Amino acid sequence: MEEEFSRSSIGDDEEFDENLEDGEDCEATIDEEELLEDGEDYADELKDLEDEGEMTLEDLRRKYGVGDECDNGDYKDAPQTSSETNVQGPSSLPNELSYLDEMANSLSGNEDEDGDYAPPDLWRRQVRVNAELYQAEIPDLLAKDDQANYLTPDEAKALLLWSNPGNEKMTSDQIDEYLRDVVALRIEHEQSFPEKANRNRDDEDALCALLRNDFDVKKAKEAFPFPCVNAPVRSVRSDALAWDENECKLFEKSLEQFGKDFSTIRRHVFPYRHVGEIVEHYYRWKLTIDYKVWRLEHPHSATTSSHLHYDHWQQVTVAARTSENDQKPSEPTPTVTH
Amino acid sequence: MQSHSKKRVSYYYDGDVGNYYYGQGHPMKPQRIRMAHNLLLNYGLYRKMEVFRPRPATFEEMTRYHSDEYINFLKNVCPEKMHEQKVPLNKFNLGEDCPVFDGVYEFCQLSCGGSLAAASRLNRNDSDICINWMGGLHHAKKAEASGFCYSNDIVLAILELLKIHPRVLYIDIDIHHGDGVEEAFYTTDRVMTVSFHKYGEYFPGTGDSKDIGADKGMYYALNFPLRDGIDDDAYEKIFKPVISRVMEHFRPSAVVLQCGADSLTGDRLGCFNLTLKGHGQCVEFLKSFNVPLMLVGGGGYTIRNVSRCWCYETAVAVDEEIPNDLPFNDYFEYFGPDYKLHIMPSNMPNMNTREYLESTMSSLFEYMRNLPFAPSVQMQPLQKEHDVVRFYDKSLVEDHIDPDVRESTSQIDQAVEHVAEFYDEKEPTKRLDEAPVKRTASSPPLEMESAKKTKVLSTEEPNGDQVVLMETETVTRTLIVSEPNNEDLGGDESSDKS
Repeated sequence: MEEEFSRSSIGDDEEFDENLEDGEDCEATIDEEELLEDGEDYADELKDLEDEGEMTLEDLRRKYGVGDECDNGDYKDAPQTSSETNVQGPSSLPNELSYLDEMANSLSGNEDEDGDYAPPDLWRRQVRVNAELYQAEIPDLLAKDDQANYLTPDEAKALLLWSNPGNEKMTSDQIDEYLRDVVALRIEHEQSFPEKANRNRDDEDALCALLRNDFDVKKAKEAFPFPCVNAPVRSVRSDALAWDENECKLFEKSLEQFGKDFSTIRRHVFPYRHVGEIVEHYYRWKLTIDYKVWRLEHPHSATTSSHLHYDHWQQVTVAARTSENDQKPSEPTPTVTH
Repeated sequence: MQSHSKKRVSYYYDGDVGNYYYGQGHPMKPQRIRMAHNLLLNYGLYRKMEVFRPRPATFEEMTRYHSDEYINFLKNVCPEKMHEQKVPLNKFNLGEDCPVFDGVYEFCQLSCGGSLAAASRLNRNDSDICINWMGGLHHAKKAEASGFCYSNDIVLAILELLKIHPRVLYIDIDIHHGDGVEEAFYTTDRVMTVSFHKYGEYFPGTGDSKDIGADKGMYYALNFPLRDGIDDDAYEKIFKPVISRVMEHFRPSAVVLQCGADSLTGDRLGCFNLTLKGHGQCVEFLKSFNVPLMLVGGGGYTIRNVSRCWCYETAVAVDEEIPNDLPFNDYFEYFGPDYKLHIMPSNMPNMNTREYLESTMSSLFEYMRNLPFAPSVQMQPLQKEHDVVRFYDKSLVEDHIDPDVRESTSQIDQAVEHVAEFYDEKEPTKRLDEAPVKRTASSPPLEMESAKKTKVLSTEEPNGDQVVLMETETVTRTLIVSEPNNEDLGGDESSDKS
């Protein structure tokens, strides 16, 4: 393909001569090329030349990219130009190569789609194909026996916490009533319940107790206080104590010092706690008035800063939003391999 | 479009998930899942579902896709000793985007555990829709972390679904291309991946519309590249036609929808302009096909909107209208100043012209014409003798049919439906007597019948059939499907095209 282009470019060189830096090099390259490719069939080429004869000047110009700026530095190999390497060999002809690239693109007939995403496209990635390294191994459909086996419920897969399909066991109103009673129970036992919250909001623990007592409201209530069925268990120590006032103060202090690096805070301040406990405390604390006070006192503290290398995401987003018609923000590619 | 029958919805959540923290300033916050969960509780949606706390996925389960070496590394890596092992960190692409944080392995176990449990429940036909907002981490590769994702719960879930389902469709409405899932299934024709995403100077850089799969998987990957600022209307105009066409041609027996919420307006990393309604209508649309459906989370970095979105989509799944005023909840203050559920689109321009969207859409349609199922073969009439792939034991069924049961509720309709079945939802009850033999999604098209080898599988589904077959517990159903590792699921001709 590119070979044919070179020839035709010689043919009507006056059209783009001015873009060639060194005519001699060019000729030499083509000679060498021809030597390399002797015996090739030029039938297609002749046909293409014929087609070109019928093209308008405009089309020809577009086809050969005349008048376009050729950026030597940004030369990128397009997948279509598989055989261009033999041109590259003898001498470097950046201009020529750029033309070849464009030529190949336009000949592949994809100019519509290509036009939208013109190079440079350093951000682009290719899907990798290698069954060993990248693709998943596809399982066969299970045979009859295995299927029957498989289809027996596996309780171990997940713990059922609530089920009342189609309100079969209990209507929504009945559940509401039960939940309100549970709130009363909780308040009676000095368990915390947010004032503003709806008293019949779904309560995981109460509902689970109901399920496990087969929707017998009386029995379920007798089971009070309910175990916390979906509380964190792995990210926190099972015997973790509630945070006392002292610890809370210490936490605020360490936040000042280390920012939200909870791993470091743990190492230096709370070695006896799990990181998960600190994270949990942080989010809980964030909802309290203490947090607001702290924020007022520390307006420029770590919790407000956008940190280090995560900046580039925001920049890109901002750039994308502000550059209305420009598809290419000046920022480098966001998350290419660092 | 919306179907009137209530779906059996299962929901997977683990209370630990919110306690994992990627690191200071990192946009990915597992806390958003806890916030969504809290909204569900306060909206009273929790009680409408079956709720599970999944068992954490095991090493063996995760290495069904991921390499042992990679998962081993995740399991043993310790954030405090990170600098001591620089080399392997790079090897697995851990570090900046994907920091090694405390409990990273546990976090992976939770997200994978949820999706795996969801998949096996769908396989047993115990639920119509399974939801795991902890999952959806679509960038993770076989032996490599990427884009805040370490383990690919979606790939694991689809592999699980493939044990029972001949074909699984994966749809990705995250703003980022679903590259991990696409790559995992790039060369198979049993999983079709369809992704709608921002393309151009954007992570992860894959997802050109010309990427359509390879080898046997050629034409089984579809990508719809988009520009900034797409809004609800424009999204609907591409999503529905593309997905309808995919459903017709590919005829999946199960669908996984990744509901990444970074395609919402105002996302910290995203640049689309969708509202909850535009995002949620994708869920609604897929629900209308009555195919077993799995909803997973994904991206989403403005966490108040993420939790709004997933709460709303849970409501869509259980078919509940929920008021726009947010109920009081543990994170109420995050939702100020308006304290409403729905969000408003911004005034950002939509850079996707109608012409662009239409031409991209038609090029995708063009690719789909190469799928073995011709576009004209939409829904097959029930009783085509030579088209038969599945039948009930007629006499047994007839003996035990109780007319009252037959005419009864939609739940019974669902119970008789095999998971692989979704085309006949209009009159499913009739089918038992009038059409003991019928076509499933797995049947090859007529004209290609002769080219197929088929294999008989018969399966008993104690759970799925309990309701209808109350007195007919001995009834077995037989399912004939194309053998999975046969050359092709019905289109030798077209896959030879390449």
